[in-house]
Amino acid sequence: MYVQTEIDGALLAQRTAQFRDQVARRLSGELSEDEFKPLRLMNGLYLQLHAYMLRVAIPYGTLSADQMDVLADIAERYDRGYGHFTTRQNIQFNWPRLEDVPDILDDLAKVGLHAIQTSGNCIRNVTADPFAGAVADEIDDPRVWAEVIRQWSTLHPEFSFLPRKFKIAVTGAAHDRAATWFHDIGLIVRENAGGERGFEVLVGGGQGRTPMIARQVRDFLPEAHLLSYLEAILRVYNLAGRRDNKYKARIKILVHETGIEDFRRQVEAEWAAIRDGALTLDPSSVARIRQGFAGPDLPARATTAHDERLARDFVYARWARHNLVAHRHAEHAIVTVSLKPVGGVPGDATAEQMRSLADLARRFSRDEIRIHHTQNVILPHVARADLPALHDALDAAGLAAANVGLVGDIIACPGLDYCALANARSIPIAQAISRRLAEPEALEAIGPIKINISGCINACGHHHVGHIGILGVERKGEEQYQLTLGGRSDENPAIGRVLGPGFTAEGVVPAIEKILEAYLAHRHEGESFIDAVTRLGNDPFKEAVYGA
Amino acid sequence: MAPDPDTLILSAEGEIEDRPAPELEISAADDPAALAGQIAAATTVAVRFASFADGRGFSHIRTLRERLGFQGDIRAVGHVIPDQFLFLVRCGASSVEVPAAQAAIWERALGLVTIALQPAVNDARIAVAGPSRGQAGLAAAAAE
Repeated sequence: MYVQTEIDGALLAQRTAQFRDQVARRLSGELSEDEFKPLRLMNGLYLQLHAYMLRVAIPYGTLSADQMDVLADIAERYDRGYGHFTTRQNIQFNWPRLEDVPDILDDLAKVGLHAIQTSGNCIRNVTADPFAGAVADEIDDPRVWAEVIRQWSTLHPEFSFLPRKFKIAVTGAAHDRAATWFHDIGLIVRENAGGERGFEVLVGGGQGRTPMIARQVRDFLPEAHLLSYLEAILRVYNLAGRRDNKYKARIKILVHETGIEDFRRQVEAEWAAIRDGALTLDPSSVARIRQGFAGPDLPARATTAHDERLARDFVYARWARHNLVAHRHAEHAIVTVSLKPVGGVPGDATAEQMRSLADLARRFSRDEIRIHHTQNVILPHVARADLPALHDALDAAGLAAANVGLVGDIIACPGLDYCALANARSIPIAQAISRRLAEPEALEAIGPIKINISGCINACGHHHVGHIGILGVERKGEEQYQLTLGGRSDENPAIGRVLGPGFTAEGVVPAIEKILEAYLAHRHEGESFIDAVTRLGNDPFKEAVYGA
Repeated sequence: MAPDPDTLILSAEGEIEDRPAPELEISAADDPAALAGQIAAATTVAVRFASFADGRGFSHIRTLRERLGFQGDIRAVGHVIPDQFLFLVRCGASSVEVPAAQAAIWERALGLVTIALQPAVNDARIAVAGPSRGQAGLAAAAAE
């Protein structure tokens, strides 16, 4: 697994010392909250509804077992015994005390973790395909490039005070699991006709109050020029992005208002001036990073134990059906550990569960853990021979929910239970849906579906790209929920369309049941929910929900 | 214009006592390339920050140094914060106007981070590693 260099460690230590000094100045009153705010935001520290919230970066969603253990320790020592995995492959602690934050950052730094650039108007933690380096349909490991970008963007002297936050996602596989079409910049690894490796570059995608699918700004960028091209895009955005209205400040608005042709012309002109300069990638540096992601040796082992258990244990078979993905080594599997037990809080994990996951990663997954943007945890390299033992250990830890990709696997933001921006609660809605549709047979009958819930228009719960999206709004002092259908964040990106008038908290679950009943009534043989919605449009569902 | 007695001018090396007034001031909304003629004739150009959160000035400073080849003094003025000192210097600013009472905090802030992972305009104070620097960058940073 990639281990950050001594240089990264030294930089982190300096950065942590700097923040300790800033916190001391705040606690002594030398800095006002107004003066402290920009400093804490550069270190992932938010002031929420009830307390500070610390967001810790998990670069490209990859964690070692030791790093997971430290997250568990922090949850226990400085929080209330749990942490919350987010839709950006990060983890948030909801109850730290300000005076403890420097110590938390020191603990994180000991295992190479930090909270740099998890907030503020800068280039945020770069995300990547959570199955990177393991999945069968991969062209190249996107984490190599995410790490290249992480280094370049860390404390960037020119781009730390952008008009607004900036999110970059990278995928290297045929199937897009990184939502590249909904990022400020999306990068898809491509090979050109000459066999040369590079990137398709997308720009201006995003969710929030103005959801937009990205536009292609370049069909092929040779890999050596990755950073100079990113620098050109960021410079155009830094100078021309709107700063008069924070709701119009993301690059998607600039691209939309400028037009993609004119925007491309500006970027290419900027790039022409810098393309062969100091940012040209050094092949030996990239090779060294690549070596870190080479992945473990995975000798073939007989899969008999797994096959036998499949044949005789239907509970195990159900888990295997939904929670496993094909590994590039056929005798291995990628295991998704669902953090969505019936009635649970999506993405929450207790310190005890984090330790169990660390332990299981050591025993069964070559020390590696991934965080998926669906708020689940991945064990990427499990021999099929070990799956029965892993399943039983997960079951004992309360982590064997067999619902990955099904109705119960709901994405939800923290909502009004925690967040200062929210208009409505998200977590109780997720819990109600998952309780109402808890029967495994019902889940399997409905099949693959993504239900995403956001507690406000900022869309942290990705409702725009949910097959069913649920948006919490406030109407006359009451929480209301608006439904959208047909969103998707894969390689066929689409923004969900509003179904009709909203519902009260009590009305949401019955409405969703009616939508699902309509799907079962209208679907073709073997047709998934999203394919049916794409074929049929909203009308039959509208009829089912609002009709007499 | 007489210098403001409540401010002083700092460079990365310390206070600059002789403080010539800038012949030209560039604000965030300006396009430095359109002012190339005036810039070429100046010895000191001020880049004004209306708010520390408006980062356009950082790009302007780079443009002055890298694109327009300006060799004189580039002075950051207005609302900038001590934690931005290193960023300003790395982008190519040679001086900054700060409240006199804060000078010590500014000087201290400059030295807190000595490593960077990306090249910039003026990296004299800093060891630069990162994916475009190769082994030489790593060795330099390790020696820090």
